[in-house]
Amino acid sequence: MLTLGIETSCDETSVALLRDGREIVVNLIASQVEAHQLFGGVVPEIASRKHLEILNPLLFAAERKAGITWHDIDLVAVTHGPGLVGALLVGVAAAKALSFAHDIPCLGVNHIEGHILSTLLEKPDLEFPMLCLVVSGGHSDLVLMRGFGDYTRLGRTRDDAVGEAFDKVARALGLPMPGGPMLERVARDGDPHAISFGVSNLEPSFDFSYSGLKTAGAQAIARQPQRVADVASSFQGAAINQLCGVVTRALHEHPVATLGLCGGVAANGALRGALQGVAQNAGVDFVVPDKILCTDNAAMIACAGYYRFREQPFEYSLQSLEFEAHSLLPVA
Amino acid sequence: MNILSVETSGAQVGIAALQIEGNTPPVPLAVLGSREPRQLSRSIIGGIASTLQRANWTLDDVQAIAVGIGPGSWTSLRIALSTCKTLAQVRGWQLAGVPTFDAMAHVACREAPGQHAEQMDVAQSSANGSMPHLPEEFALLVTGRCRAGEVYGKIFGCRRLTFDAPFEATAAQVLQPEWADAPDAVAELFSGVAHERGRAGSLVLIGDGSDDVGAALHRHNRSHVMLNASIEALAVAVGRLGAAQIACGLSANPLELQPLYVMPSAAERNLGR
Ligand SMILES: [Zn+2]
Repeated sequence: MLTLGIETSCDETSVALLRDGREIVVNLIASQVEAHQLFGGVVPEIASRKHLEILNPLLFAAERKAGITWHDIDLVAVTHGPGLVGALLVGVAAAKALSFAHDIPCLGVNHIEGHILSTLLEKPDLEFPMLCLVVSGGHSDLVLMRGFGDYTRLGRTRDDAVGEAFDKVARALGLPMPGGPMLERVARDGDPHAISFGVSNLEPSFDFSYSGLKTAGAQAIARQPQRVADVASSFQGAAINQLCGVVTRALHEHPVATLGLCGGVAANGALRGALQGVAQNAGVDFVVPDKILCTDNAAMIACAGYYRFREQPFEYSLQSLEFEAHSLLPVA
Repeated sequence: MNILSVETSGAQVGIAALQIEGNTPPVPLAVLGSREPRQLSRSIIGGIASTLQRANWTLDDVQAIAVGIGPGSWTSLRIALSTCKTLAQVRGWQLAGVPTFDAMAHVACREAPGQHAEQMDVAQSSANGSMPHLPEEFALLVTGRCRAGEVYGKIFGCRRLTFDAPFEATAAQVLQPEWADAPDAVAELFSGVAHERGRAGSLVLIGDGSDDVGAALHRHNRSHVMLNASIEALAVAVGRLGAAQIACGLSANPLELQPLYVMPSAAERNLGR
């Protein structure tokens, strides 16, 4: 079964073809990071325009690269939220058109569910239940997945997403976009214990808070502008400590078989290492996708669409093409 | 040629299925007008499907698709273009991107048809409600809604055509390409351009911004005529102009066609300040 995935929820345009929910045939990702660089953050109108420019060429390239025809596609899966509505609408419109043009079933996929199921692209036979930490510039969620379509959100950020805090502190440090990866690079040369940042503790909940740490990071560099590497390293350490603390408590309270890590911040090597340690201590499997599958991509959307379709095949008709794009769309 | 046309830039959405042979008037097999642009993402595929059904066509009967590229609502234009570009790409249809105001000008140039094509009526009304009589040649300002306090405009020098006259691209000649400004400034430029072309005595307005620009012209004692184009007539004109483009070998590339935004995003405008 060949699934076409389309992802346009933020500043990456992506098209993927996935066979049987596990074999990535193509996964093309066009980043807009340069277009937004001048503005210090993603500009929704510019993102929407870029998606419309790049999506059809990406579809063309995917078809060519995979050596398929449109008739070969069995399912179209497209992100329909959460995200920037104007950006989502470009992908949703193209997905519906392709579905209508060749009478292919089409379904809207939750972007967070896509991130969670990116762990299945890494390990298709992973065991449930899985505790999954979804961390990116837009989301910080701790989700308990008991099986396909069965999600409980145990925790979330109460203010900024962790990736947003990385980006803001990177900006204060004068680092170029993408801020998170740049901060990680600089942090390697710093001392993680050089500056002591308080770690938010929202016990007994499994929620996170990053606005205080973000402000503290920006203030630290304002006080000691020459200590970029130390501030970066100490900030990153504190941010990771908070995540590890919450995950450790959650693993204690909710016995699971697997700990998953996904989302853009999951590409951070220090975080991957730290959570692997947490999983080891708890005696559970640890799954984190390849770095390219941590960023927003259409392979994870195709994967989530595939499992959703497999678990809940329903009657597809023109009616089912009436789904809409949503800026907010809870996964659980 | 069997061509579908889609127009979504304004407050209404129009979809048409047309049979166009050479230079003869198009045969609209089905025309759909909707007043629900907010539902566009939800309804556009259903609208295309029901237009096909009413025209008694399957997807295999379609050879081309024309889409109005604005200016107008950026979100609506993107939904329409993403839909039409993808349909053209994956079905191998010819594609035409038609500037919406050109289609509007062609509606204005053509006299109202007889009772045989009520779907294509061009309701003409002057300020006092009587039917205006358009002169042989006139200056036309096409307007559309923009962000608050501004309208999009485009100015044409027009020749009046009878409804059955063959298609003529030169019937509406562009005197000022699409731009956006406050209604007063748009009115002033329009009067100036019309004056230069010796058509100051025959000013005609059409489009969603006509009321605002008309009020500005009124304040300066410039008499003018206001026309209304129905969304159905506009959808047919988009199809007709699109078919003409394709016939001239000017089809658009689905990998490249973009809306006429006219203006950069607010973030880019603020950056310049
Ligand atoms: Zn994401």
